[in-house]
Amino acid sequence: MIGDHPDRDDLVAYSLEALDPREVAAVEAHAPGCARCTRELEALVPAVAVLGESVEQFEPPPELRERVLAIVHEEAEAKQAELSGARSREEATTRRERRGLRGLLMRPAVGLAGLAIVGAGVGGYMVAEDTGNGGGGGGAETVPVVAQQGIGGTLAVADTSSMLDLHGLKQLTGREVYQVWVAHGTSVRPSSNFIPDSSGRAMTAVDGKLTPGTKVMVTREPHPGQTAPTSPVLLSAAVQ
Amino acid sequence: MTRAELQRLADEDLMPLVAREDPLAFEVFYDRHSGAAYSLAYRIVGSRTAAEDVTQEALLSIWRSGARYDRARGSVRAWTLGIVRNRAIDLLRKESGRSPKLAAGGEELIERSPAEELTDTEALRRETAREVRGAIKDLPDEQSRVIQLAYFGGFSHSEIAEMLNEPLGTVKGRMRLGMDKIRATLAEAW
Repeated sequence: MIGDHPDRDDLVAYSLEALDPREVAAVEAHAPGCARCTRELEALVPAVAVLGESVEQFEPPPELRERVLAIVHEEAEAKQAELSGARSREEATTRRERRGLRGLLMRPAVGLAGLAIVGAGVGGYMVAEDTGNGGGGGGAETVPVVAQQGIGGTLAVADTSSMLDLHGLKQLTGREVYQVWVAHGTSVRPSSNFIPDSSGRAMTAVDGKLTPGTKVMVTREPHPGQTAPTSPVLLSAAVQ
Repeated sequence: MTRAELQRLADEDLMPLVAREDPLAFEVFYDRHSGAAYSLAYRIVGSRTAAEDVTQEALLSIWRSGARYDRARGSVRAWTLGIVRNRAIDLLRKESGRSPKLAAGGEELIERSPAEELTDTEALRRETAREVRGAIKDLPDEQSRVIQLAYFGGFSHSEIAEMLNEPLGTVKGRMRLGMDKIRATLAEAW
């Protein structure tokens, strides 16, 4: 049952998103099953679309391009690092397993012990991800973050770059960004900045080798490009 | 794929690469559509800073959503502008208790596009846009006004009727008549 055809005026208003919610529901209940109304709505699409293009055209500021593309490249690199981190962990596990098997074949007496260590190493890493106790796997170590305001997550520390995986982040407004800082002793340097997704999750790479004693922190900054934190630290993770 | 190769791709062939998170493909997408996105955002929100924010959020949402573009929903440009419009209208609703910026004031704040070498597609788009602008200008004021309040202001027809103190049926009829004229202009342009 698709009901009566909506008024043509209503189809036009629907295409301009100018109907009230109840009327929208009525059109959406009817139109998909009605060839005539579907045709009419399809015919309206280009006319509505061109309204958006009919405005005076301006050149967006170059800083906007820089900002958007910097975020895009950073996120693409973080994803890449995440993927290659997962690959290295897989390869390390495979190597350890092969070594363990070879050892087992070559030196039966110690082979079993070796295999047990491999198992403990891999298990240690997995447990660390769950509990945040740090791993003994050798490839990467996961450090829990100490945070406030409902934020949580982990810092996975690898040899050349590390990855912050966070959740519970508040949405930003305007040009605000979350800024990652790397502190060692008395020196603090800015690392990546990021914007969480709509569910408050974010993953971001932290560049460089993080040695024991290094602290990774995040602040909420009014815009990218700060050289020192201007707001309170929202979370931190200490590399042991 | 090199930048030059990406630049030769049609929008519809570029979007699957953006969906696969190819940052270079996104750069090409950005260069093609950011001007229209920014201009529309500016037209709706009426300030340069807010237009930048809306454009940034809309384009990053496309990047982060894996660019869920569906050819059935029209051109990439129309789809992108739909996202920009929704973000801009959301911002208006959030910030103001509604104050659509229907006058094109403050343009001196923004530099006009410099003369540039346009692709055929872009040149055609601009020509069509110019004709539609002309058609909107030629519409009787009362038709143009209701369309602009709906599209650029995000108002429903009942809100518009209340605002203009006109019967709802009159507002709806004006919208239809105006849109019919725009469709006719488009049909001639194509």
